[in-house]
Amino acid sequence: MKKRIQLFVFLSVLFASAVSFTGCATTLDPQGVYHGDKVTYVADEVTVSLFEVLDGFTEWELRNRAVLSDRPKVHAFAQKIRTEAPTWFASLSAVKKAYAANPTAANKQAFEQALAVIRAAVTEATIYLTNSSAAKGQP
Amino acid sequence: MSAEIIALIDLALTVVEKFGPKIGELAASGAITPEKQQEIKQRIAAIDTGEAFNKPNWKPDA
Repeated sequence: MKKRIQLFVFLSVLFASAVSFTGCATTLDPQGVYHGDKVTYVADEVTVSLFEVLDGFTEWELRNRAVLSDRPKVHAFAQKIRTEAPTWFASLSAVKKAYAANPTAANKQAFEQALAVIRAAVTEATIYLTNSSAAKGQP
Repeated sequence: MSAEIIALIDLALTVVEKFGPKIGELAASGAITPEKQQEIKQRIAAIDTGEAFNKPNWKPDA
């Protein structure tokens, strides 16, 4: 199981890196709904990607709850995500809109702080998975 | 097949489902298409409205 979890972590990191690369190296078709606004597009894509990691984690935890019953921290953290993530994403959306409307240093900092909360949750989710696997002594 | 193995397969499928198409998209060259932009816009809207959380895996225990 540890190898699979490492794969999950590896792909998460790979994808996060790829998103960053996209933000630097590609362009937006100006005919699209973002009208060439790459900053907003990248911010939205990163938001969607972070959501998908947490969505995948909670989905996996729910589908395998019986198997994971001896790892209560996994369930507890999944519950924390279910309870708090909607608020985290709402906050992120609010500060993102504020920054788009008024791109000041203060608004940028608020956006980065809101993003950091969700990134920390994504990191913590992978740590819980890895630790729960290691605790069982699995290869 | 043990439940643990089923969970492993499930995790692997989740990874492929979540990340496989995106990595493929990122490998493609050229500008991000209007269709892809529209997809991101719709997914952000679902997150912003809370619709994205209206699934069984997002319901906390009672």
